[in-house]
Amino acid sequence: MKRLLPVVLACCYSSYSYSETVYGTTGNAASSGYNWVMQNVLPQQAGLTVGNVIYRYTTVKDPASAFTVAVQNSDADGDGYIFRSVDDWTGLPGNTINKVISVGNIPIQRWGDGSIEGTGEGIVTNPYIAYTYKYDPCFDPQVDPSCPGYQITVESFTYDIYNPLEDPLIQAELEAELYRESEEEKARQRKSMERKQKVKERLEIALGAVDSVLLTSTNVAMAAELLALNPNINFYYKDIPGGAYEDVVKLADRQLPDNPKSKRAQLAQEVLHQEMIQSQYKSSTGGLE
Amino acid sequence: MKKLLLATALFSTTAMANVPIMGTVESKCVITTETPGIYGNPTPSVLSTDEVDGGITPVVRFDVATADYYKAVISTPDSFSTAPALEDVVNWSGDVSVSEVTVAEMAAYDTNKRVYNNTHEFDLTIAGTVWFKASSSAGYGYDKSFPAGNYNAVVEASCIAI
Repeated sequence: MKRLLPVVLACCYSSYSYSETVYGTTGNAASSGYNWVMQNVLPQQAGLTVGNVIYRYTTVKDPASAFTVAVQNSDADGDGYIFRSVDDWTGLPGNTINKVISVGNIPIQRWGDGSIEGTGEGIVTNPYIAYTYKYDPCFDPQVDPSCPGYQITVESFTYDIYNPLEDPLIQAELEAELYRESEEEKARQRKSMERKQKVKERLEIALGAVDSVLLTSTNVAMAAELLALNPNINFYYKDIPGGAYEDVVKLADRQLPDNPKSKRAQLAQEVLHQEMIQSQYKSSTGGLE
Repeated sequence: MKKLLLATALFSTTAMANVPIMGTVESKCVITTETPGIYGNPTPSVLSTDEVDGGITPVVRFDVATADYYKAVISTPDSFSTAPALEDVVNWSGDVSVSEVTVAEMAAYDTNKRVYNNTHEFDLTIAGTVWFKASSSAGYGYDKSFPAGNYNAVVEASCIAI
């Protein structure tokens, strides 16, 4: 008997969770006006459905006048109405109407904005519109671990791979670095060229000095040989002192006028030139003009 | 001889059976007291159910499943069911009207009602629910004060098949 008791208890004990459907009725949707937004009326629960529309209002009118009152909700998924009830009060005295209209179970997402509208001669007073609804708190079992069907999910993390080369700041820095290197390379090349140029110039100066020295010594040697071969030759020999020989004559930049004294000579030369030209015609025509 | 007697007995016996027939008639007209009334006492000589007199008007609801088969007969009080001993006459008045409907056409019940004595008759020509309110007022003597005590009266509502 002691062994059987735990088995019986285990069979009777249910450890699984379950959810119960929640039923409810909204407050007066028309409490603040003859038009209402359903998002402000119905609880925003996934899987909620509306089963009934309850409405009550009072008409004040002349019994002989034509008057209709419509209580309606637009269809949020399309044109037209998801619910519309029209009461025709034409030819009737005003009174209070109280209706409960079953609409099946229309999902919450179909319920658009609601309104109560009177058409004709009469007024609507004291409107009361309410909706009965139901929903399963575990419509989406993942909202609560106690819901049946709840599954422990391991969140999959997606890592964003950071590529520093795609970072705009780093790219800008790299471009700046590349530009600096390019400029530095150009500067280095320029300095190298200048250095080479200086070296070349110095080398030329050095070679020039060597040449002059060699030339001088060669000349001296040649002169000595010449003197040795012919001691009777008396020629002029003198050393030119070194140094810089600057130009002495300097002409100032100014307008240099033509020499008026040379005009006569120019005119004479012109006359002579014409005579020479005419003379060739005389010789070619045999002296006939 | 015994065989002959048995055969005679067999041929003379007749079979009988009582077959029951059952049926249930559901009520197609249900009356429910929606709001019990309360008398207000605006002046010593008046008891009234009007709200302005501090009273509450009783409301009775008729649920009619089938149209054109019933009429509502509602009588306002013409006497107290319980009251202190009254030595003078009581002047009664009352009215019955449609207070709420579930179909707009029911509003015509008021127009088409028949009134006699303290009784109001409404033809229930439309299936649905209709609420009637029955007001009642009682004046004691000629501006005479009602004796202190509890006063009770009854509004009689009937749904009569026609």
